[in-house]
Amino acid sequence: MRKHKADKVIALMAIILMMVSLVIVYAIGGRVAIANNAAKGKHFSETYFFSHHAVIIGLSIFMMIVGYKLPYKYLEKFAKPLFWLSIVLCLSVTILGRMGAGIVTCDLGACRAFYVPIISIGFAPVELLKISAALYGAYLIKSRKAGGELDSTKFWVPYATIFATTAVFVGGFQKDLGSTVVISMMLACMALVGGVPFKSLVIAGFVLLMAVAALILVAPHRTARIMGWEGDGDTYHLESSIITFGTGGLMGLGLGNSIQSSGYLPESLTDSIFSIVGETWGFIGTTLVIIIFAIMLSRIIRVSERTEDEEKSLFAISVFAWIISHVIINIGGMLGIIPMKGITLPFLSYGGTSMLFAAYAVGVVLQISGWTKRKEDNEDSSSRWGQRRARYASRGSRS
Amino acid sequence: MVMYNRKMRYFWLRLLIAGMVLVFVTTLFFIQIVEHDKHVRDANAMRVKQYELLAKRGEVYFMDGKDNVSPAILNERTWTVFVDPNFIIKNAGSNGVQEKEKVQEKLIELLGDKIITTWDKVWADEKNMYVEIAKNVDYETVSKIKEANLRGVGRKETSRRVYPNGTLGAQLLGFTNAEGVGSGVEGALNDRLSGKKGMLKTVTDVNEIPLSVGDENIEIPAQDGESIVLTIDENIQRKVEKILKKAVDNHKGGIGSASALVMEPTTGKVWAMANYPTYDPGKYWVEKDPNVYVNRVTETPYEPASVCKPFTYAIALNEGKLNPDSTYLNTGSTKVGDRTIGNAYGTATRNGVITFRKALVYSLNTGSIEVLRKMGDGQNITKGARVTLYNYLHDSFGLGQKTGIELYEATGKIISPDDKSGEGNAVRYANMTFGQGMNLTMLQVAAGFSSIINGGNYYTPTVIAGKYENKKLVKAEQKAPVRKTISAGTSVEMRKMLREVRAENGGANDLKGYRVGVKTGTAETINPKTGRYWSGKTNASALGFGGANSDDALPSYVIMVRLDGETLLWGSLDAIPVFTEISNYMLQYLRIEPK
Repeated sequence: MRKHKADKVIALMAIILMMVSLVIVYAIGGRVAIANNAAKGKHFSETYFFSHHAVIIGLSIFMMIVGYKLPYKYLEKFAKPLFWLSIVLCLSVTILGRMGAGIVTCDLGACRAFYVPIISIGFAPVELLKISAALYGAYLIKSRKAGGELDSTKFWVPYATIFATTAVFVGGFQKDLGSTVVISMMLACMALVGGVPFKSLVIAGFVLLMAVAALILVAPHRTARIMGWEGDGDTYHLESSIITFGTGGLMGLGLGNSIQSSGYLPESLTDSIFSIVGETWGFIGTTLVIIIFAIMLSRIIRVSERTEDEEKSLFAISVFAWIISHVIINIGGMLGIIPMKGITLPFLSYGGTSMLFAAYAVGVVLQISGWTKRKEDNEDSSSRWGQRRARYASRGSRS
Repeated sequence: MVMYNRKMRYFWLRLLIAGMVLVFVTTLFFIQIVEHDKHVRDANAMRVKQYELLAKRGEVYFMDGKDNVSPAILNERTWTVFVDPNFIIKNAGSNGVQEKEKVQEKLIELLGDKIITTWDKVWADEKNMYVEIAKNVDYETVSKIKEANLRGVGRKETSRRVYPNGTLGAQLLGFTNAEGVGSGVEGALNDRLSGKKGMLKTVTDVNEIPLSVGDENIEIPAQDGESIVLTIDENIQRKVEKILKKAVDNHKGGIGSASALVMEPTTGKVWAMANYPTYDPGKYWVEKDPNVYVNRVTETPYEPASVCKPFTYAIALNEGKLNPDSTYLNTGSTKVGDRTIGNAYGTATRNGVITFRKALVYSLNTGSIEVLRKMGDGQNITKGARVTLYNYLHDSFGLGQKTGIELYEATGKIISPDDKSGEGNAVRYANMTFGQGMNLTMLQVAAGFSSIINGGNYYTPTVIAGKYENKKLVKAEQKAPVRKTISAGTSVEMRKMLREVRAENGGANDLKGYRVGVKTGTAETINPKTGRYWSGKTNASALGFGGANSDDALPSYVIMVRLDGETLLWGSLDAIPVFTEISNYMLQYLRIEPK
């Protein structure tokens, strides 16, 4: 197969989101710094967050290019060791944090990131785990499928191990249920698309439910806390998030006029940044951002759909799962549809590792998109309504 | 190879995207469009704060000579330190106890005995967000607290009044207490000094620091209070207070309180208004006896006694009813109705035929009663005579009514001849000719007296010289006299007669080459137990003027001294030396050339 141009739309959507993020951080960074300094006795300068974020975005674009350029075959080889390395890093971040080592940052008793002093960026190993789980999972499905062992213990044991180790080391030790759910979603989507029989998927889901039920029986209190069912009764974050969206109205207050970021809304720059989008640009702004995500996600599905190499196709769908689960958990939490989990909104939230790895993953998807089975000229003509109708019709008849 | 419909599975994932978009956009529509107004209300309730903008209180200045000013009451920036127990406990989480101890220890170290509460009370209510720890904390201490960077500890700037001259002019300047009730200038001129509070309605950040965004912001700036310059001359005030203190100290308990007033008779400006014993208005709360807060010059009326005789003489002269050189027979006492009214003790040697001029010099009560008789039919104290006396005293000289000075003042009381109780009878009016039977403030007497010796012009007494703006004195306009009391000719004659009085009453101690006139008074006081005029205590007064030795020049100053006795005090013995000392100081201070 001949390489053709990559899917520019995906790259464009990611870069638009990054630029929106940069503009928001520019507008509210100073106010967040002042509020942080006053409330927590910190000493951030008013340009700290913006300049820091600009560096991260620069690095993220670089990572995206690396993902795009570095051939997938090299990744394939390292999938399994990379996964176990990630697990070791996740474990060591927990252990070092418990020991009180200075290179680990802990927040509210949860230790999730290494602190890299010179460039003052946090490195959360769970982000590396996400990408390596995707690579390893895709490799497992492809190789077992080739051997016709997709529904055997040869597939299920290692595949369940990926999930189980994640659940224990990330969900249990790091108390990071959000990321555990993300990785589960990635594994589930790959299994779904990879062709694991529907019946087995249902059984796996049932086993998972039973496991959770067992946990509740054994340690109800702790389980409830990890799952976030038992909140600390503090609804302030959600209330202020809803107010932040609500005051934005249709058009928003305009750039630089955010008030909620002056300390009322917790995590304005990171987890709550979508609320600030709502305050700044209103319903129009939030809807546009959601549409941008939807376009990006459906284009990633298309890449997966059109990639003949099974492993690459599955990797692409895992990136889809990665992004959509982040979006659902973050925005759903901020809107009060589901319980809030401390999880970032890809390409929008301020924060180092998450943006870097998401950008890298999308870079890999871009690389894959250059090897889809249909040619670019065919793509272009597909935008014409008549042909599109015809194609859908023909597809329908084929199945 | 497992057979499955891969397309269908992709379709489910696309459905997931569509579902996500649908749910999120619908929810956002509901929150951002439908409930928009409700959220704006909730947000404003939380974020819009209304602040009072405090106006800077005006300062008060004394005059220092003719054109300079000297501070009397200034503002000092101080701070109130408070803690937010709710914040400290909530923020520290499980470390609440440690955090509390840290704050507590540091504040004890820095504030020491300035702490006005107990720590048990501070931590008693976890929901409490504001507990004052110390007030009037100085800049240096508050800077240290700021440096300590204690979270949940706040500072609020306030202002404190300072009196750089300590007790100087204490009763005149006064103070305002915590409830805003004041005395002296601080109380009476409160409206001008306090200015007008402003208002700031603004969107704030979570730490209540105003933000410049949003359209809820309203600012009405505060109007600072006026800084007032008093006519009181710091140097004269200081000297007079010193003289009063010396008099009280020298008399070893005989003088309960001493007061003095110095004013300019040709303008009504008060140069000194002093009372002793006194207090420190900067620490007024340590004073146990609230009587020392009272400015007796304007607020405590008394019976001034013979210092009022010049009024009686001036009225008769002005009415053309008295020739000062004519005579009458002084028998030491005279019968008015069923009462016999006598002269003061020790005047028996003056019995016999005597001129009215001499009767004033020796302060004979029979003389001033005789003057009143002359205003009637010559034999009796007629209603007409009483009406004339009342009209002059009350309406012209302003006795028994508020002078209109800018301070708190008492009204005093003069009983009209038309009084329904019949109290305005001949006996009372006979007593009034020598200043008994009526309650007057020193200021009323001195202001009326000023018009007797200044050519007959009554000036409303004033303590306000002007405003202090941009470090410059802006002088108030000199007010014209409000009325004519007596003729210029009568005034000339009165000055002459009062100089004759002075010649026999301490005139020998005057600096040479000046004209000084005086009249003394010794008032019997009512015994509160018996209600009669004999308590073994008298009040001694002296009222006089001084100035250049010239027929053309009007007197430069009027001095009134009042000593309230704990024993028997005498105008000529006790009040005159005080008058003399002040008078001689004034002659020099005003740089009047001797002739």
